[in-house]
Amino acid sequence: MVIPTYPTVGPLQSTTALETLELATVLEALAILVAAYVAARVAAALLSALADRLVAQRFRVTLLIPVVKFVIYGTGLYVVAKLLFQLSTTQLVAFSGLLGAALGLGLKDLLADVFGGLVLVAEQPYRIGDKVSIGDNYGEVVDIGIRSTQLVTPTDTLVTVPNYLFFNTSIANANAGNAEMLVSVEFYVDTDADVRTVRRIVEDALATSQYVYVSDELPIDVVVEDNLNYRTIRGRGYVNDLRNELTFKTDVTERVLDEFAAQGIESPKGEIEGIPE
Amino acid sequence: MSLSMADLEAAGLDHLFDTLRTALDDHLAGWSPNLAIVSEPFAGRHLLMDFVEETLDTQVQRVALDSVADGELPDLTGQAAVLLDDCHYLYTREIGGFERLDRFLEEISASDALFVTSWNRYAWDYLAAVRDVDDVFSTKVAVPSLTAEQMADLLTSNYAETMPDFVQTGEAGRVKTIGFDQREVGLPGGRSIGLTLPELNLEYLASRSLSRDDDVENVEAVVFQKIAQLSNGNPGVATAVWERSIRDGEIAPAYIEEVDMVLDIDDDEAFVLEVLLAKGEMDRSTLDSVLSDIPVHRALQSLAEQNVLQIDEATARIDPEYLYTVDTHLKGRRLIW
Repeated sequence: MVIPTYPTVGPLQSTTALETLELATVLEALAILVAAYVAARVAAALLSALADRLVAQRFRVTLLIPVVKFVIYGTGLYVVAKLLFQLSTTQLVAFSGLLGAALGLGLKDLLADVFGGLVLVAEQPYRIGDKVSIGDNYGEVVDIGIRSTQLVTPTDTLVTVPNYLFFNTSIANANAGNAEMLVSVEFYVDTDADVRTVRRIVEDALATSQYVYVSDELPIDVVVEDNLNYRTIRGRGYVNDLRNELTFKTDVTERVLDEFAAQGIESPKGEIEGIPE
Repeated sequence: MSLSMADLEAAGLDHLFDTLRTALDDHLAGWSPNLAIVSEPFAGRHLLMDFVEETLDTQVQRVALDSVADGELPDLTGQAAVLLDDCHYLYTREIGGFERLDRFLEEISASDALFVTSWNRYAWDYLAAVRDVDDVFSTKVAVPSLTAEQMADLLTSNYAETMPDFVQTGEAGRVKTIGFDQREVGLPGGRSIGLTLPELNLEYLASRSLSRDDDVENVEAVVFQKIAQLSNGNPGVATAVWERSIRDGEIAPAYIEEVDMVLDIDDDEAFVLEVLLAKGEMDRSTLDSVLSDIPVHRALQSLAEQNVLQIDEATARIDPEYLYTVDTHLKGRRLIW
């Protein structure tokens, strides 16, 4: 009886390679991972510092941060895989498939996050520094990582949003990579108030704010709505830097209210729809 | 030394005078276009106004609005032609601060008289966005940035009597080597992406290559190139840089140093600077009353400590040599555009 012999295949070789791993190789791999981590952090910090110097032009630089991080981490992982498993290119492709399937079964969410991160880098629905709403969360994007995106909300809370949400949640980006952003302020006045005066006050407050950005393409506008017991005056203008969003609103609101008081423009006497008396 | 009309003509700005002549001829022929002369601070718009006044001779009334107008507008009725200097003082950055400007624009739109007005370019850009001021003036004359050759002609004309010797010191002097420019790069599918690309300062490289060249003509060329670059082609700033760079009757590329500083200022100081840039010069107490929500005097002191401003007991103004430092900083903050 002849016992058939089979040629050695890739995975068996890699198993042999794993069995003969030396401590020094493992340490070298760890050192590479640590170096990649440090390099990514340093690169991100340097780019952030450069972006801060550019003030409102910072988005030109911040869009590079996630790309650089992905490239550094990807290169690090590739080098580590080559070092540990010593695979040929063909074997690496076969091994990646096997590894992917294994990870896909056990770490499905993590992989979805990583791929979500890759798509985020490629499509750039938002960049670091943008003001976005993702699901129920609204805030400034402060980091786009491999697994998650971090937002700081207006109440200074750091929210970590997994990247896979990109695939099944709508994302609203208030500034789309620009420093300026549309801000809306709303006032309610009594029906006796002179609408033209009120409108002029709100328009002037927006146009003269120290935080306004106004041009022919990004104009200021004021809309007046007549309701049964009150009138709504809604002013809209662009803030020069989205970091000043709340300061802009406060500045306009304060000055409008001061002027209303100075000119004797009164608040509504009746109930405002949707707002308890 | 202040600039003259002859200096502007020597710099090849004759076309500005031609435009003004045409507008004045239209006026004499019965049609009165409203004229706006717009320039950056120090760029010489008053010289163009002088030219209009000389050309119209006695038929004109000239009014200077060189402080924030807090009273009524001067009576402009019954005049065939009115010259109004520094119309950017007709508004203030406060609620109700456009009332006088609006009345003025309404009045000149309805009038048959010729109105020749001069404006600070920064104020003009702002007012064009918030008040459509550009719609009221059918003719706009803007003082352009001068090239190195034009700058050479201007300075040679202005300082013909006191021209310094051009010398070579073996050094080119410090100038920013690389700038950054935003470019749109097309992508497949009709999409495009904005990329920030570095741009080499060729004038600087030229000056480096000539740094060991003793040829006086080449040294002159480098001097004028550097002055044109550091002044952004602004005649008034160029004369300030020129005068600062002369040492013992000599000028060399190395003597023309860039005023390069990073401004460390907060939002309030930036706003004060923006207002001053749009006005050129302002009374300190007026500035304080107009910007009542801001600690103006503290901001002025901080800016003066950084040498950006010149302040005396009554007024505050931006130093010409720091004009482009301020311009760059405020553009970066999106306060001017």
